[in-house]
Order: sequence, then structure tokens, then C-alpha cells
Amino acid sequence: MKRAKRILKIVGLGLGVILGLVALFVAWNWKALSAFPSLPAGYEAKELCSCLFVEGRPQPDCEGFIRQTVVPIDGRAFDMEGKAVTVTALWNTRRAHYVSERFGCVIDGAGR
Amino acid sequence: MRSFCASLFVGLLALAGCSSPGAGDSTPVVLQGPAPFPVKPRTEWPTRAWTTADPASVGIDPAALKKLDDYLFARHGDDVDRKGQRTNAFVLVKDGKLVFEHYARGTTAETSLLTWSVSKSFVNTLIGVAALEGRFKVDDPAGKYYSALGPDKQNVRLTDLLRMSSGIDWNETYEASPIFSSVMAMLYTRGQDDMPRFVAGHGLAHAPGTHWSYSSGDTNLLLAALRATMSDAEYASYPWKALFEPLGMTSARFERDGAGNFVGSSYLYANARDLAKWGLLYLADGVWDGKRLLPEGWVAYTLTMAPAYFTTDVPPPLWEDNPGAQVYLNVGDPKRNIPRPWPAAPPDTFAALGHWGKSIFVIPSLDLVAVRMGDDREYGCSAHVQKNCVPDREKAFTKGYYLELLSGLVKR
Repeated sequence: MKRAKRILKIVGLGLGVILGLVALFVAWNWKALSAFPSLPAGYEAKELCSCLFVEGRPQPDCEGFIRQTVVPIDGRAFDMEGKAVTVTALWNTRRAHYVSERFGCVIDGAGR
Repeated sequence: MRSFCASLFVGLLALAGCSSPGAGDSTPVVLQGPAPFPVKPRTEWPTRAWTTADPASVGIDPAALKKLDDYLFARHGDDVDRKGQRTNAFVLVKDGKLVFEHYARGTTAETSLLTWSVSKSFVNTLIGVAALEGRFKVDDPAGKYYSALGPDKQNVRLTDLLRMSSGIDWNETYEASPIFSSVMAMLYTRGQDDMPRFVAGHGLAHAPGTHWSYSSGDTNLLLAALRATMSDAEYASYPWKALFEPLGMTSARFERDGAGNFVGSSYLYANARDLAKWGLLYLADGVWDGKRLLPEGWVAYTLTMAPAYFTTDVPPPLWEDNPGAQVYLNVGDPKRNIPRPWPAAPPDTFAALGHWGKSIFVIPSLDLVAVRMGDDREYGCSAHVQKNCVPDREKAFTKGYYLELLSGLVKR
């Protein structure tokens, strides 16, 4: 019984140390980590917009071009008339729109 | 213990470097001298349309050309799995004439194609044009124009940015480590609203001019300095007035960030024929159809190895990159036994290179410009820099083999 308590104590301490290290890592890299969830949706929205409206390629080709296997995509919405693409991934929804022939596409302002 | 002492010493050195960022190489840049190859006189320029020629009439071996074409467009792999050669467009210019072109995967001669980092070599051209206009000297500190560069970076010169030797702390990785990639954050999250400002917010990792490290951030700072020399309206049309219109690059598209800064690191689009004009401009030492666009000595400067390369530790995986000023060279470093990156190609070969198989290769001694816009997701290894490398040319695009075929087009 005593022994079990002791083991529990060591495990608890170990977990505490690990959690502490994780917390330190997160705090230390907070800028990069907190911005990351918006990256996949931003990347897809921007590159899909440019592929469709700057390069003028068909939608299936463009979806093949941006396809990545790391992060699941929750939704893609194509506004072909308004020339804009909206993508949702990792609880982030990002939109990119076509500006003009010269200036192509840009991600909508996020200010993050 | 010895290694501990050594690392402590190196650490102290690094600290010393950080505490006095002015200690870098500040050798003045003098723009002078002709291009490092004989400039061939031309009578025809492709500003409005390309003059075409039969490959055999300009000394290209038709059998060698077929072999190259077969290689570039062979589809051995599965497109869904992104295996095999994935060439979208290929354009070959010899003696200033369009001698061969081939388009695939939904691309045509008119398609404005994403060039990724090939854009950077066009930024070199824009900065050169601006230097000829007297907007700045390459020796000037970038902060003299772009005030968002803080006092700690006051010694970063335009030439350091051109040669990717600013010393600014930067992590240039793409898919491999997206969370800590500076370039991904710049393009898609924290930097998207104002990319140069995002770059300027980074600290110094090395004294300016002493350490070469590939950085898309350095390129975008160059354009921020350029923007500061003119009104916003002038800047918005500058790439066209300065470069695209004189060369007749009607297919050029240039995307901007949320603050209207051109994304010179990544987002120039043009068709393959228009991209080939960049090679012709440099082959002509910066003079296009009788008009000087780049300062005298600019091409020689562009094709000189970044001095910081020689004071930077370069492990074998980086031997593929011989940095000039936003272009890549084929000289190696004999003093350190670093071989030329493309041994099958003549030593005067230079290139604009971009992610996923985009390239403009220029071979002055063969008067050749080759544009290849690919979408490679697998690269063959390089036998001369990687041990035990047997590149699978069928399953992945192999630059060394491509250059071997390209250089073999003309009998020497």
C-alpha cells in the first residue's frame, strides 16, 4: 500500500514536470503556436483563389494543387462570380478574394 | 570538456556578434565591369512577339531535344500521388529565338503561372532599375529608406538583402515545419497584412553581411525600401513601368499583401514565354533592344557569389545553392572542396529558382534560356553531394539530369 502511494507520488511528480515543460514550451513559442491554427485555411483560401482566378485553371486541378494531408479541411466555399474562396480548417474560417488582373488575390485582413 | 570549451567559445563569439551588429563585412560594392561572359549582339527582340526558329537551324541536336522533352513530360507516376515528372510548361530560347515549347497539365502558352521564388530574381531586376534611376545605392543601409527596420538593424544594407546576408533571424522552411516557419507565417498568418513589417519585427541572429541564409524576408524588405522612394500610386504601377512593359511581359501579375506591398518573395505570375525574357535581359548585360535598363556592372554584381557564403558553414545539403544576388550560380567553392552544384552544366550557368520545380536556367556559353514551370512534389537526390544517392529519375524530377540533357542540346 505504502509502495503504491510512493509510486503514485513519483508518477504525479513526473507528470507535473512534463506538464510544466509543455507549458513552458507553449509560453515560449506562443506567437508561433497561437497563429498556426489559422494557417491551413489561409493557405488554401489564398492559393485556391490564385489558382482559379489568376492562373485560370479548373477547380478540380486547383484542389489537387493545394491538397495537403496534414490538417483536415472542414469546408471550402467557392464564389465563382464574386471571385472569392472561403476555407474552414482547425476552427478557423479564412477568405481570399480576387482584387484585379494585375494584383491577383489577397487574403482578407485578419490583423493577427 | 574540450568540445564544451569550444562550444562555450563559439557561444561567446556569437554573443559578441549580437552585441555589436556593426562588426560585419561592409566592403563597399562598386558596380562596374561587363557581364562575366561575351554579350552577343542581337537584332531581334521579343518585346511584342518571339521570333521562332527551327531547333536544328540554331545548332540544336533534334534527337537530344526529343530526349529532353520525353524526360520532362514522361508521366511515369500517379498524378494523385504526385509522383513522376510534373512539368506544366517548358520554353527553350536559343540565340534569342524561341525554338521549342511544350505545355501540359492544363497549361497553355498564355497561362500566367505561379513562379514562387523565381519572383525573387525579378526583384533583383526591379532593384537594379531603381538603382539606375538613382533612387538608392546598393551600399545604402536599408533602414535609411524603410524606417520600420529598428536601430539594431541599422547596418543592414540593400546589398546584404540582395545577397540574403542580412543576418536577420529567419526560419525558411515550408511543409516540413509549418508551425515554426517564418515564411509560412509571413504569407498566411502573422505577416499577411504587412509582410515587410513582419520581417522587420525579427531580431538579428548574425552581424549583417557575415552570414548567408536563404530568406524570403530579405527579399520583401528590398521592396519596402523601394516603396519608400516613391508615392504609393507610383509604387502600385512601378513593376509594370520599370520592367514588365519594357520587356513586353503582358502576362505578368504581381500579388500584394494586405498593405499593398508586392510579395516579391513568392507571388509573381507570368507565362513561360514572358519569363524567358528575364534570361535574355541578363544575357544582354541589362540592355534591352538598345535601352539600358540595369546599371552597368549590375549583371556582373548579380552573378558574383555572396561574400558571406565564404564565411558561412555550408553543410552538403546546402551545396545545391550558390547564392549570387537573388539568383543561383554554378561555381562551388574550390577552397572548401564544395563542388559545383550542377556539374553537367557549364560553369557560367545561372538560374532563377522556385519551389516545386520552377526554374529559369540561363547558359551564356550556349546562348540558351530554358524555362521550366513544374509542380514537383518529389525531388531526386543529387549524386555529387549526397552519399549513396541513386536518383530515381522516373519517380522524381532530378535537376542534375535535366541540366545534363539541357547542356547536351548543343554540340560543344
